Amino acid sequence: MKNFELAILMAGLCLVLSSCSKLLPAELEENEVLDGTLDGLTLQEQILFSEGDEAFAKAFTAAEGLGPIFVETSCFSCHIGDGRGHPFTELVRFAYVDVNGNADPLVRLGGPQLQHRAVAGFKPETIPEEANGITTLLAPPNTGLGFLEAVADETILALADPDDADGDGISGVPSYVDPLDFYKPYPFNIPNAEGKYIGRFGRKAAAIDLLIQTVGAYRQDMGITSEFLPQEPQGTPLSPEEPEVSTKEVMDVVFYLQALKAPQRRDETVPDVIAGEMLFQQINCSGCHSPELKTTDFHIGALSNKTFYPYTDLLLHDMGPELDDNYTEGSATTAEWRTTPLWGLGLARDVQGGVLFLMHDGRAKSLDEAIQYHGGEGSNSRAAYNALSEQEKNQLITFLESL
Amino acid sequence: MKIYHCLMMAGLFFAIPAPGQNQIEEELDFLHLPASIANKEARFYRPTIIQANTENRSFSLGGYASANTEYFVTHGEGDGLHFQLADLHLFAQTTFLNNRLHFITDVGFNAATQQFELTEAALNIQFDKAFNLRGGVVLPPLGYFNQNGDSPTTDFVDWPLVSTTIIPSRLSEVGFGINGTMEVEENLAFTYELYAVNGLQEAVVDNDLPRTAIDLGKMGNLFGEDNNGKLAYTGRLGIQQGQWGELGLSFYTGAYNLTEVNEVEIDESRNLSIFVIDGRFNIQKLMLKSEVAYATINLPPGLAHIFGESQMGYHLEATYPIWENISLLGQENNYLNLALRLEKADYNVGDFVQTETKIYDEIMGFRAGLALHLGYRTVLKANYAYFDERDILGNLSKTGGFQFGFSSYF
Repeated sequence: MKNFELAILMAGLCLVLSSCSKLLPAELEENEVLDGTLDGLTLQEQILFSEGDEAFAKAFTAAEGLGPIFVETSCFSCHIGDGRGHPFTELVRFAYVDVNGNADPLVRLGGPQLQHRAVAGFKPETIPEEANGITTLLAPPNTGLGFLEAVADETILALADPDDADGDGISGVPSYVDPLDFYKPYPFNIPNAEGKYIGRFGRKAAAIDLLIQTVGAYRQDMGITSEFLPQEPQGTPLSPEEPEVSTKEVMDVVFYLQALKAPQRRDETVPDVIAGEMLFQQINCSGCHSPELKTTDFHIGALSNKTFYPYTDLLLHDMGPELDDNYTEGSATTAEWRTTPLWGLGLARDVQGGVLFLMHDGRAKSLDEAIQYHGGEGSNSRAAYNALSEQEKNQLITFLESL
Repeated sequence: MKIYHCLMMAGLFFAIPAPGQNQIEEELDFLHLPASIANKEARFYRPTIIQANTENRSFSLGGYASANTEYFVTHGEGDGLHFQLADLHLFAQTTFLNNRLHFITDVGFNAATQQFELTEAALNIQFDKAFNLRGGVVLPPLGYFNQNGDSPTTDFVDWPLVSTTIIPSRLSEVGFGINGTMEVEENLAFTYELYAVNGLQEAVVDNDLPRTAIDLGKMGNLFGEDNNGKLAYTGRLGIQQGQWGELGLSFYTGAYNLTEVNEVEIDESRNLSIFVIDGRFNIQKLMLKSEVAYATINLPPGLAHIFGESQMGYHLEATYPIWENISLLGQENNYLNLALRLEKADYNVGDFVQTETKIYDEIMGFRAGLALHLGYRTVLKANYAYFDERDILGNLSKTGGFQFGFSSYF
């Protein structure tokens, strides 16, 4: 090879190698993604998080216990990117609700959740004729759940205003639900006189803690039994002798959910965002979407005694006929829903395929449309929003997208 | 298959009496497969270590290996540099009975199972050039790469995505069938192949990805029974022009699922079909290769959307020698190729019923490479690859990286 040809070749290779960094996709900023760990985890906790991440992503096969009837094959399938769900992975739940609003979850007929998929040899479930209350639910985001779990009951109760004593038209109430047999309360969980505890997870706040939420999802969404819930979803004929997911895997997933970071803000100093934040307070969106909460002492140090900004009060609110699906869980009425945390709202598109699907069933395709579905206790704020100028509306939306 | 099985097999070939062996070193530019050699014949023209001929019998033994290192990142995060032994294959072939019986066997090291596995062990009996019987462990003639994808024959470190996932190359099946070549005129021929084979398995759908993964349906144990007792069929029609190259249409169809457990019927038979158009064209020094594949999969009820009912993909490769007759390592026939590849694999073609929006689960990729060929057996490769991968909802992740490797026939 001639020397000058070799030199040209070497120069070319050097050029390519020197531009490596420009040819490789750059890392995303911490506030551009929903997944990631809490700051301040110990090394052991980081390892646990990693194991939980793996268990969360694990897709089950029929041989590993999937089904026999199921909705999805993994936790990750519904919570893609740890964010909001998509209508494709929606859950359908049904019940019979009598004229007094009492709900029968129709467990004997396979309720309360529809498993519309089945492994070979089994028939997918259908909604029984007896059901008169049917709702569609998108998976909520996972991020920051540990913070919500570490809020003391007394903090939630302090935000409640069941009789609307302040006259603002908002009367949030806690969701009190019966604990399952295996439930172990934290010291800050206070039962009411009937022995019920405050639920804080799920659209109707029917799950008291992340363990209950997790094992319920394993069983109802994937047909995976655990030590905690050893029976297959009602309506299926088989129950395995051994749990299909180990207790360690369940606890790993619970830790993963607890240790996921809270979504981080973007563009906080942009003038329109600041103006939008003021409008958010001014038209009393913050009456339910309470910006700030505090955690109490918690077994994960990184979650103990922290102030955080979820934009929820974890209370149930009557949202009027607009969102009344004639379906309910726990102590919520059919029109009551737990205030959805707004944090991470601005990153929803990035995990929903570039399109927004908001509200419990994804019916709203934009933030403006979502606001219009706020009836009942949200109707005053909706009216105030509709009275804003276009510029002010845009500022409010810009603020919401910064969350 | 353990390595001693492999060595025994090689030993059997060496045991064939071959008096007066003459070692013949025949150097074909196999990367630029001569347009005059049809795809279905090309495996018989691979470079070999030894070739021995007698009046009624010939025998050859060869093999190839490739290794590479790669560095990939997805949005800035990756696993760092690591090395891979990508390929190690040993093959042998013998021809006897007036060149009418031809036996070829190929064993390859599977890095995943850390074992040598049988890739091919086929007997071809030629009654006429237009009519051959072939049986044993055959390579279904699905597209181009499944039969002709030896790593030293490509300028890229990896095979195209469509060729390894939607077309589940390299696919070996136990089966039997016919093939032949019909020459229409000088430099123009039609080729055909048609085989009945055991077929793919239920892991096409029953897997933990979770997506329809045709490549996971490959039978791990070629000596075991088929899962459903139903044969699959595969075939290819090709038109080959001596100067320009070859165009092929191929298919694969058969039941993939388990229909009975302990003699209890658990599901009806569900078919999987793959259709491929492949092309290989030489335009002076420019070589173009392409495969376009479409697959349909009959899914159990309720699995639609999570799993793809149809898949499609393609790749288009262009290779051009930008520097020829390079004097290196004491020889002049070295050359440097520039190679480009565009590719796409869509693992779930269709729309969501709920939103009437597109189901994604697809990858689009671009590769550029330089390949330094040291003669006709050895190639050193440097590749840059970039992929836009969208999950089932369409959320985008970007991956880029570099690969460096070598491949060589022994």
